[in-house]
Amino acid sequence: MSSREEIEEHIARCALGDREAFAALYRATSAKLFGVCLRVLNSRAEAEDALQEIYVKIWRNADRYKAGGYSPMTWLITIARNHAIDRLRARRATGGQMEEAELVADAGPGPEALAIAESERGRIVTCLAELPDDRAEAVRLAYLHGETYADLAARFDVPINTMRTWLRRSLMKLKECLLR
Amino acid sequence: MSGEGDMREDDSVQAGEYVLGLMDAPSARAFEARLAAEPALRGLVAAWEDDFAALAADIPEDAPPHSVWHGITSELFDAGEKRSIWARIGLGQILVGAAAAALIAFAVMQAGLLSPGATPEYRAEVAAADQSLLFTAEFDNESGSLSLTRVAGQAAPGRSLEIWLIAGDEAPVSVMVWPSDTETEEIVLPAPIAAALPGGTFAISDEPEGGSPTGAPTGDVLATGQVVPI
Repeated sequence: MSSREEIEEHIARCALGDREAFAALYRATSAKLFGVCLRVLNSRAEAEDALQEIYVKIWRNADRYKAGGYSPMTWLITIARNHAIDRLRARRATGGQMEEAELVADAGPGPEALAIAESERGRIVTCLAELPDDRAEAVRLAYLHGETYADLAARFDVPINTMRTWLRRSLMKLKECLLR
Repeated sequence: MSGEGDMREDDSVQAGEYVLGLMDAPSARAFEARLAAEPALRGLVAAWEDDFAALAADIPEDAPPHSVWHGITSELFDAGEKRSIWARIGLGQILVGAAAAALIAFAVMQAGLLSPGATPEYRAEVAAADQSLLFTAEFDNESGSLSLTRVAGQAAPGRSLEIWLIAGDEAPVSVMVWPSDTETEEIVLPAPIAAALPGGTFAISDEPEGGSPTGAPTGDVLATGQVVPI
């Protein structure tokens, strides 16, 4: 994995139309972003299409990177996550019943998550662990699976207003923990 | 806790809901309107995006197949010069497609039919670098009428000039194909295009006679000009 400075340099040179920098950026970051697409979309074919669209977006918007004040990986991951979620929601809107079954099977934190070295994780993981399991899971499902309040209410079998209250309290607690 | 503290807490929760995509569309739009005006709120959103992006540290890397890179480069670079001309002048992306063409439904009106006493609120000078081609545009926000005047230059023999409006990163939308023997045209823009005009950029491209066959610019960009308030 390249350093933050190297990735920033690649993005800055992309903004100037440097195709070699774009290739270097792709080499350094595509495996991570593809992992994000796979996790969200749960389909290799769709994740490949999404990844192509994401890098087209990155190339065309590279000049906006500095203005946002983000770390380069946050910027790239946010573009990838948001794009993959948009695709996922579009798929659901066109009636993917299969989707529900896939998601149920995928609802747990996943064993690979536990194997990652603590040092690579953000504080968010530590802070999520301070929430009751189901509350933390609801936050993860919203971020990584684009679930709405209605989806989450159905999944956890609670009224939608209860889910809204859960999530908002969870966000408040998370922020308290993140700022500690 | 003070009332101000409560408000900040609420903003932080709302920013979190926004980043997670939990807001319904009207709430998200209202929140985005606030974002545009409140740097502190943008900071809260950025902080959440940063925190949640760290969840991706738990996601294993997975090398994509080579076909993805080929797809990216052919989409971005194989269209050749026509696309890069736009990139060079910083006008952002061009989406070639029928969707852009579908937006091109204009009520063309003859000069003189516009509401009397309308005063233009926006203008643009759409000029080639060497001024060999120069158009002026004036737009009246209230009536939605756009008045275009050819000051200098014309289409090459057997070709047409097509005028486009580009808003932000959106694909260029065709405003009109310039009738070769006219000096002035007035048209009324449909509301969605009129809304995109303030702050947008006009461009004039060289096209086959009768205009672009694809609904997106296909020829060289000959002139550009930004829309500015009068």
